[in-house]
Amino acid sequence: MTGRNLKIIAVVLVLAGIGGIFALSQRGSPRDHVLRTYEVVTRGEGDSVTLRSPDPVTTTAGDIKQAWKPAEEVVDAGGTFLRYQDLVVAVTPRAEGGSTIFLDDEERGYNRWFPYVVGFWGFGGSGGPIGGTRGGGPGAGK
Amino acid sequence: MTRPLQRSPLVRPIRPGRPRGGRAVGRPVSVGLAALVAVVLTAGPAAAENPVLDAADDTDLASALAEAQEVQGVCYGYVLSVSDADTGQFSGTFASSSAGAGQAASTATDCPNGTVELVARIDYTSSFSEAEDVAEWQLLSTVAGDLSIVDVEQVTGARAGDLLDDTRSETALLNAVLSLPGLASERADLPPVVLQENTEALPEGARATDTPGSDWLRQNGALLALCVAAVVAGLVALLASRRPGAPRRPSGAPRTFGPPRPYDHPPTDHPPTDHPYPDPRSQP
Repeated sequence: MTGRNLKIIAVVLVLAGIGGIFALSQRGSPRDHVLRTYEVVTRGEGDSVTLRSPDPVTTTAGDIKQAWKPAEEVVDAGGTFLRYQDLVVAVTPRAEGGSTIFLDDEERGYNRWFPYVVGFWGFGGSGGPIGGTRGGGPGAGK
Repeated sequence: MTRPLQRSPLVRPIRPGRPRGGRAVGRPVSVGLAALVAVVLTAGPAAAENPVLDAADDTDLASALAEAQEVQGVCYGYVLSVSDADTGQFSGTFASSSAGAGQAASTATDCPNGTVELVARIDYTSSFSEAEDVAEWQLLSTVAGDLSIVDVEQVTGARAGDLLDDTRSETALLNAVLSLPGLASERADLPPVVLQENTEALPEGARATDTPGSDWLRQNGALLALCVAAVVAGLVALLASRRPGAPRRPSGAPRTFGPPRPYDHPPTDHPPTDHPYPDPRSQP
């Protein structure tokens, strides 16, 4: 291989590497992805946002997981909880079809979904269980 | 009103017992003797221990599945058969379902819309065997929609092999079984189980722990490493192409093959006459 060819290859490698790093740096975050992809319904306290997806829970959660791999995941009979760095994404079914997505920071998300994620993502405390928080009422069907 | 799901009020330590990963072959005799003594000492009529879920897990799971059964009219549950050729401590059949902890869904009676049961099997081989432990699972469903274990694996990301890993087995089995009502809802057009947000204050000291690391690195780490490797390889190649002493062909000179020879000069009309050293080939 001549020095000229080697130089060309070297320059291509460096440019491709720098271009790749630049492209990766533009990817945003899981929160950005969800906000860009789904319809915002309400904005709550702090950074909490409620969104709507036309797809069922498994499809919606699967799409989010494919775009941004979660650090941890808890699947419940009524939804899926994805944990990221200071972000909890909860995907729950809507009785009228589709799913609802809840975005919360770590603290709010842990509080909101405590009965479902306790023991998986954190310490349950010493004050005894919280009563009456779990749902299960029948939906209206799809 | 069923009691709220409190799967694990405290983070429990990893359950001791089963070794993780592959087995060492040809262990020292002392270890074998110690194991033999342990087997003899622990042999007895003690009840088998579920290696994946403990009693509290089974109770909480049954509670959650009972709610799903109430909403959907489908019985859910799991049955785990364990064969422990090592100590026998874990040998047995374990189950939990919407009919209750310790009961298989297939034995439940009030299931107007069918039954969905995850059937798993774990074979722990002897410590003296070179064979690996084995875990497998399948889904038995009488609900419309052709639910299969592949659907469960796609939704949860769990695999049967996770049942052999003490750090993942509990979450894998719970996620797999608890994904069934959601899957059935979507596939068989059954009403979904609707979660309710917690609006009460948390118990004292309750908090999320082990905050995950960077999302960006988790998602892009492999590609980032590839890009950095490309940049480094490019820089190394660039340096190699410019290293001092590398042979360079003067502009306009004909291509030559083989290593450079001393006193090779490009052809000119007039050979150099002012060379500081005489050409040894011209010497008699």
